[in-house]
Amino acid sequence: MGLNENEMRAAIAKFVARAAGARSVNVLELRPLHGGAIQENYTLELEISGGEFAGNRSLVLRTDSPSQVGASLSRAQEFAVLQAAFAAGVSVPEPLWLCEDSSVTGKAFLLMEKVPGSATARDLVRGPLTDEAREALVERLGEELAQLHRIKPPVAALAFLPIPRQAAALTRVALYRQYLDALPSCQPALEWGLRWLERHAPPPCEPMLCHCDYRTGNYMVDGARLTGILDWEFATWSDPYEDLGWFCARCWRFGAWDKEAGGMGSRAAFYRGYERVAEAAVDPTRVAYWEVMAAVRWAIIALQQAERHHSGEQSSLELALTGRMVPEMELDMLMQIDHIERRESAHA
Amino acid sequence: MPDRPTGAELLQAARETLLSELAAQLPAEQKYPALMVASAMGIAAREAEIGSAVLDVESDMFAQLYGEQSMTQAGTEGAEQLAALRARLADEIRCGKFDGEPGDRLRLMLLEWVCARLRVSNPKYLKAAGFGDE
Repeated sequence: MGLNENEMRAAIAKFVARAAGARSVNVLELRPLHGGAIQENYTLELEISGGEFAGNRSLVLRTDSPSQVGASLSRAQEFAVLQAAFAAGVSVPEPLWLCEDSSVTGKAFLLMEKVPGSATARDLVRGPLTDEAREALVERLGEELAQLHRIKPPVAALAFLPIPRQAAALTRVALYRQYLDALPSCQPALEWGLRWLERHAPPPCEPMLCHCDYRTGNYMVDGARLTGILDWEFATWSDPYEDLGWFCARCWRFGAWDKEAGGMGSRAAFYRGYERVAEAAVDPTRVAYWEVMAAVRWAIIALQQAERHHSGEQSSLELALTGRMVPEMELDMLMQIDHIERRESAHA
Repeated sequence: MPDRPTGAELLQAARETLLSELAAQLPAEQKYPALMVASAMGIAAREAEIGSAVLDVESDMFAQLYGEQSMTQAGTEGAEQLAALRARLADEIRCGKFDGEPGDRLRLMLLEWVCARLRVSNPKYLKAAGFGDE
C-alpha cells in the first residue's frame, strides 16, 4: 500500500468509524498475513467505541496484491459473493464492510470477521487430528459445499458473474486454451488432456454458485472444528461437479494419496455430507471427469506462475520450482483418464 | 570425460551438506526456503546426469509421429526443432487430427515423455504413483 503504517492505521480507523457508526475506533494491531499469491491480507485488531459494533474486534483486511490475476474477482465482487454465501448459511467469515474508494488507503479493500484456527494444508493433513476427526471434517465440508450450491442464478447482487452459455466444462476448455496460447511454450500433453475433456464433456447442467478453489488449504479449522471457507476470488456460476472434482483431485491431497477427499478423508464421507444437504446423489463419474479438469487447470496455473518468474515480473524460487511440478499434474491427468476409460470399458 | 567430481556430483554433495549440516541450524522460518534450495539443487543435479534421456524420449516420439527426417531438418538447432515439433503436435491434437488414432499410441508416447521428465523433476512422485524405478 502507498501509505506508511501510521497513515494506513489512521485511514482504516476513520473508515471503520463511519461504516460502523462508532464514536471512535482505535487500531490496536495491523499485521500482514502470509499466504495468498493474489490478495494481500492483513490481520486487524480494533477497539471500537460506540455503535452496534462496540468492543474489541478481530478482523481481516483483504486488498489486491501487486500482481493481479486477470480471472479473479475484484474486492467489491468478492464482497458480494461472501455476502451471498453468508446469507445462504455457508460457513464463511462474516463480510462486514467494503471500501471501494481508493483514496482511503490507495486500493479497494474489504473487511471481514477473523475466524479462529489454521488453514495450513500440511498441518491439517499430517498434524495431530485423528482420522475420525478428519473424516468428520470432510463430511462437514461436503455439507457446506452443497449449501453453497443451493445458490442459483439469477441473483441480482451477483449479476457481474457470467452465466455459462454452454456446458461449463466447454467454457473451461476454451479458457484454458486461451491461457496456454498466452504462454511462450507449447504443451502437447496438456493439449491432449484438453482435447479429451472437450470430447467427453458432460451435458450442460443447471449452473450453481461454485467456489472454484474449494480444497484443503482454503478452509480454516480450529481444533477439529470447521470455522470458515476462505478465498472466494475465483467463485462463479458453474457445474457443481467442478468443486467436487477440485476437492478430490490427486493434486490437492498433499501426499496423503489414499485419503481421496482433500488428503483428509474418504470420498464416501465427503459425498455423504454433500448428498444429505443437496438431497441428490453424487454421480462419481462426473466427479472423475472434473478431476481430469483439475489436473489440467493446476498445470496451467503452475505454468503461469513459472512464467511470472521467467519474465522477471516476480523473481522467486518458489514460483520457479512450481514450473517443474507440471509433469506431476500431467501424470495425474493421464492416469485419471486411463482410470475413467478402464472403468467405462469394464461396464460396456 | 569431464573432471570428477562432475557438476552433478558436486550439486548432490552440496545438497547433502545443506540438508544434513546447515538446515538444522536454521531458524524455523528459513527451513522452507532451505528445503526449496535443496529441491532445486536435486533437480539440477538429476538434469545434468539424465536430462539427455528426456530429449531422447521426446525426439523418439517425434520420429515415430512425423518420421526420422523430422528431427534432422537442415538449418535449425536441436532445441529449436523440438520447439517447432512440439508446437505442431500441440496444434494437431487441438484440431482433432489424432482423434481417430487406433489404440493408445499417442497417449503412451506422452506418458513415456511425462515419466522421463518426472525422473528428473520428482522421481519420488513417479514412484508414489506406482511407476516404480523402471
